[in-house]
Amino acid sequence: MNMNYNLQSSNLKASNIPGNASAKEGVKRFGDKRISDILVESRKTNVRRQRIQEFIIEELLFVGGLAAIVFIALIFIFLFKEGIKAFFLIKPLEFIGTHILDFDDNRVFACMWQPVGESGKYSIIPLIIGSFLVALPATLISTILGVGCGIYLAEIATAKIREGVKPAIELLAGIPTVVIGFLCLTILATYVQNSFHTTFRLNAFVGAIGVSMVIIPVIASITDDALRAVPGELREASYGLGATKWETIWKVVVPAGISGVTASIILGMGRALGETMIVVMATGNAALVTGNVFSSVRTMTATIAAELGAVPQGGSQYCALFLVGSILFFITFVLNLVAEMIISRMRKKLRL
Amino acid sequence: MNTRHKTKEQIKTKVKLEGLTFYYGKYKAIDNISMEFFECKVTAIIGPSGCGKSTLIKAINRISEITNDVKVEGKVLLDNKNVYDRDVDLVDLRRRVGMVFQRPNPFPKSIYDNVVFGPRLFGVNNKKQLDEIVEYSLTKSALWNEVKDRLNHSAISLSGGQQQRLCIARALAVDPEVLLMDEPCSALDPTATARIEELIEDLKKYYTIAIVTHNMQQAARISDYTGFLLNGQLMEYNITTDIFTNPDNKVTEDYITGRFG
Ligand SMILES: Nc1ncnc2c1ncn2[C@@H]1O[C@H](COP(=O)(O)OP(=O)(O)OP(=O)(O)O)[C@@H](O)[C@H]1O
Ligand SMILES: [Mg+2]
Repeated sequence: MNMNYNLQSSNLKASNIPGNASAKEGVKRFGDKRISDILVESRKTNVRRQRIQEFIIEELLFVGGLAAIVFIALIFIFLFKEGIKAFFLIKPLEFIGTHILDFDDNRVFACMWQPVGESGKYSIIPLIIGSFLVALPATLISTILGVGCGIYLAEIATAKIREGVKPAIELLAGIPTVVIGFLCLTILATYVQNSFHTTFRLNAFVGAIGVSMVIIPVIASITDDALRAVPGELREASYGLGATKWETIWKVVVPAGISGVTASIILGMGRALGETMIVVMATGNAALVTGNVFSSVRTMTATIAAELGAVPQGGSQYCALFLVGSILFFITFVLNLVAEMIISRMRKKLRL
Repeated sequence: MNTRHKTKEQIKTKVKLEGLTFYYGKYKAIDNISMEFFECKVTAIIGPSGCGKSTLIKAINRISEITNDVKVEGKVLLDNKNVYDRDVDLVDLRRRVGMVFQRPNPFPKSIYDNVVFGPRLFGVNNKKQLDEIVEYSLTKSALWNEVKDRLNHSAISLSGGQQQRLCIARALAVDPEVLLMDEPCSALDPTATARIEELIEDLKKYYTIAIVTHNMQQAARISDYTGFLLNGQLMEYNITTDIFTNPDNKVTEDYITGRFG
């Protein structure tokens, strides 16, 4: 056995192994060096520099990533630190509502945001309602238009049309929100009042339309990306079974990309809740507790924007505003997290 | 080139190409091809990459024209009816001419929903009928025993070979007459390939099968007729054994023996 092995190994001289450096004539040489020799040599000198470069780049990326996380954490901490103080200055129940005397001198429980004077009222209920009364209709409008637009771009538009339309939609996202707010305030509000005969000229609905202008591009663009990520082979399979274009879109492409579409809607809603300038200008800013989209409302963002600059630091109102900010931050954070989870699930599902 | 003289059994032409010329835009991918596909026979299409094999079989169910700008001259007769006539119902055509693709492409849905996709398109909603169609198709594609207990699992969870058999089941579920297979085994390992080949052997009892393959042994093993394509032209078309043992054409011989190019 041992003997046999020795015999074999003696036959396996280096020159017998195919591809060995010394084996073949006629390969390209630089002097007496083959290309492989030169590569190996260069690598030796190269490797050191490369290591340093890679080290620096890695560290920079790490520091960058860390900085982003630290920033978010700091914002979190700062917001919550100031927000928590509100609980020491104001009774927790008062964030829901307070007992007040109505016109007939009866004590009633009311949810009011009236942060003025000694007996300021700090109910955040009308603000949360206001935010959602704008964000929900805005999300609804943008879902219909944005998803429709995304489907059109991904599945129906020819390459030429797409080239023209997609940048135009992205341009829409680049319009300063103050301009959109201005248009809502001056033109759209009048138009809405005339067509729906609303009591308030500036109301949640006007704000919602304005906010839609900002989030339609977000939803359209992400929907477009999500649908285009659906492999063409699935479309072929569908057509091959006799499906029409519409059947293919509704029964194969959209279901396959549904997580991306859902994520785009959730992200859009996050933007809608966070939008500030348009709602400050277009919603009337009255902190009412209402379910009517044609009523004036005051959103969380508008409240912070309008009041924070004018209140003394550390006072009740100051801290209450930070609490509002913390809540807003938390809601949008959760929405983004959910969207992120949904997108990663879609990647897995489609084996991307 | 009339193959009919060479065989004694009674065979029926299912699909007949008459002077088929096929353009992508201005590029001529298929040049004046005439050939026949026979019922209950397997016809293999072989040829080097880019010679137009996929284009040829996709011309039969008119699937390329959905996403490409194409022009077609000549005829494709399915049971003596030109599928390029104006009055042809494309949905019905694609039901009658099923297709299996190179890479397994199950929908990201359950195994069950994959199989019933076709029947549902046609409006079949009767649960009992759908159940039976699922069992029948999966049995025919030799997958039933492996998946019968997990029909509502995602099709993506199957192995590549199982996915390809699922795609075959999905095609069978609409009761096609012709089955087009574009390199159905090229993404599979030898074991899975062997299973698909067995399956094709069985399926040809019921269907007209056209299969594109890069694998000469596979063509020799499973097909009854073989067509050799080169640069969009049909160089030779004959009974498989003749093509492989005694080709008329020098280039065919070169290609088959691997001396090509
Ligand atoms: N959608 C298309 N648009 C334009 N030209 C195309 C298109 N599809 C195929 N072609 C061209 O038509 C010719 C035939 O293509 P086809 O896909 O039929 O080849 P094939 O024989 O199937 O090749 P392979 O073995 O690599 O799959 C090729 O030259 C290809 O470049
Ligand atoms: Mg091909």
